[in-house]
Amino acid sequence: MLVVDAVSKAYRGEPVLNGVGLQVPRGSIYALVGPNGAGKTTLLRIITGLVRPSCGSVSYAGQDLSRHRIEVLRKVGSLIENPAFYPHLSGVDNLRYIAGLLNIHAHAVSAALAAVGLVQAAQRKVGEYSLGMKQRLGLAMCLLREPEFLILDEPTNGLDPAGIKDLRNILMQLRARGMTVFMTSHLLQEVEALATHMAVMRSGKIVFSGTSAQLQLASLSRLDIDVASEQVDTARGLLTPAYEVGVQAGRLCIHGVDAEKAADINTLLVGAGLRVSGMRIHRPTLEDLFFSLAA
Amino acid sequence: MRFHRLLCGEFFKIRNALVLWVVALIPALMAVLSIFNEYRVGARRAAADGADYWALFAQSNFIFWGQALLPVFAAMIVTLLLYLEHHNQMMKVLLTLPVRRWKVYAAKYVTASALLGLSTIVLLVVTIGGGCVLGGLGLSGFAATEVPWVLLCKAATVFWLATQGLIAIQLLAAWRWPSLVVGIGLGLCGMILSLFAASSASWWRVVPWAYPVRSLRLPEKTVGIDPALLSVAAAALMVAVGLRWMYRRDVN
Repeated sequence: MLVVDAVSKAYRGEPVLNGVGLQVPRGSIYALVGPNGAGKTTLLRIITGLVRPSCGSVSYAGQDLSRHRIEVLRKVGSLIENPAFYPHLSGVDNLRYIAGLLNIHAHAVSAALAAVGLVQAAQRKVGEYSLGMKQRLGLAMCLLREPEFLILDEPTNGLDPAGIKDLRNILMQLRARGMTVFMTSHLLQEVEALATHMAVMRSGKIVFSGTSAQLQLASLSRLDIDVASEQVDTARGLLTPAYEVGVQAGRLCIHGVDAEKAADINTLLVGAGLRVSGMRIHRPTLEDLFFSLAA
Repeated sequence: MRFHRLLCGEFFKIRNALVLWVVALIPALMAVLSIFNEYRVGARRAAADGADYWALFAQSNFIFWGQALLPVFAAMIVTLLLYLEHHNQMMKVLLTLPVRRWKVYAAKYVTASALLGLSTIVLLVVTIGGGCVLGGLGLSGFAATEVPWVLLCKAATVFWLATQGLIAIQLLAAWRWPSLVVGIGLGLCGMILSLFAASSASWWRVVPWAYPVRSLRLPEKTVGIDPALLSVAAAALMVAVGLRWMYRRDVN
């Protein structure tokens, strides 16, 4: 498990992260979302050891990053911001360079290239690669060491829809092999399709963290109830002791209600002789949630 | 990660880069030009008795190289080495690998030092080859005497040791400021300072760019501190400062 404990960071007295805490379960795909400037990349730099936190700690599988940097980084593959390479070298030579540094067998280079579908372009210089190909090569660079934790910053940047689908499949396969993926993203649909866990970040703070299902619940889905206009006050009076009931455009609105509670409410109102002409549970999309949490 | 893997990696990534051509061609070109010059001057000097042609020729080559070209050349080599990382944003890749930061820094220093050593060897080889050619062209001073291998190799080694201080300074500057302008500008300033300091009896000690030229002076003229030793000491100090800075820095 990756644990970020009360991490803060300030640059020249200006706080960028403020007491950030996260727990990334082993085998999960954990997405960190937030608007630009929220502090996502700074947090990624801290959990990859590029930047030291002003206070707080980061640990992987119980090992503190600041005290066991080398041991921890052996378990971590990361791609921070844009994928980076030596453009005068070919794709395969860039991987060979990293493999040589880490004493990784040459076979792993071919396997990593195959895993991201870059075998055909392996001999071309990276300077000639498209951004999507660079993203794939960056992922291949991370996979060379078969890390336990994969940390990706906006990995779908520059990918076309087919590339995004491929990446999603690759990440799913990696998760199935037991790898833990921690990623940031702006593409909420992508996150919704991929992530098992999520955190929403705003102004250097985590405003939500948990599973995607918990986020849906935390989003306070809204129950809209249509009753006859002359019965609105009666219905409101019946429900008020148990729920916080609002009225919008002659319609009763109750937040934080799931389908089971909606059925109970229906029974209560009908049992009191009120005529309920319609009930709808409004579930906001992830985008709605993101904006309501990040705003 | 073993240190030699980092060193091999450094040479792996520059094997197709421009920097190797620069290292080989610039000192060779300078030495070839000086051969033509020596042919002209040496012919006039031929009548003088007792002149040590080899020593004079090698010394003039190395002094010209050390004074006029080496500061900027070293700045260019070191800055390009680091530019390869800064410009391609590879620093963050290197520093998120399971490798100790001091090793990354030290590998860069050793690579830069090796490249400057290579350029010194090129200069030496072309100087010796040029002397032989001049002897073949009839300059009796070269033809009459054996190539003083030991003297020339020793002088080149001392010269290379004397460049260590300026390499360490340029390296720290190149890590700290990614801009090519800063690195090469520092080299230019070093060259100008060394023009004045190298001939001074005491000021040369505080200008590491002057150490290589001072190292070529005859022993009786270098009183007190050995420039090569001073350069190695300055390099050790600057590398220590660089490692400390490297250990503490945030990579953004």
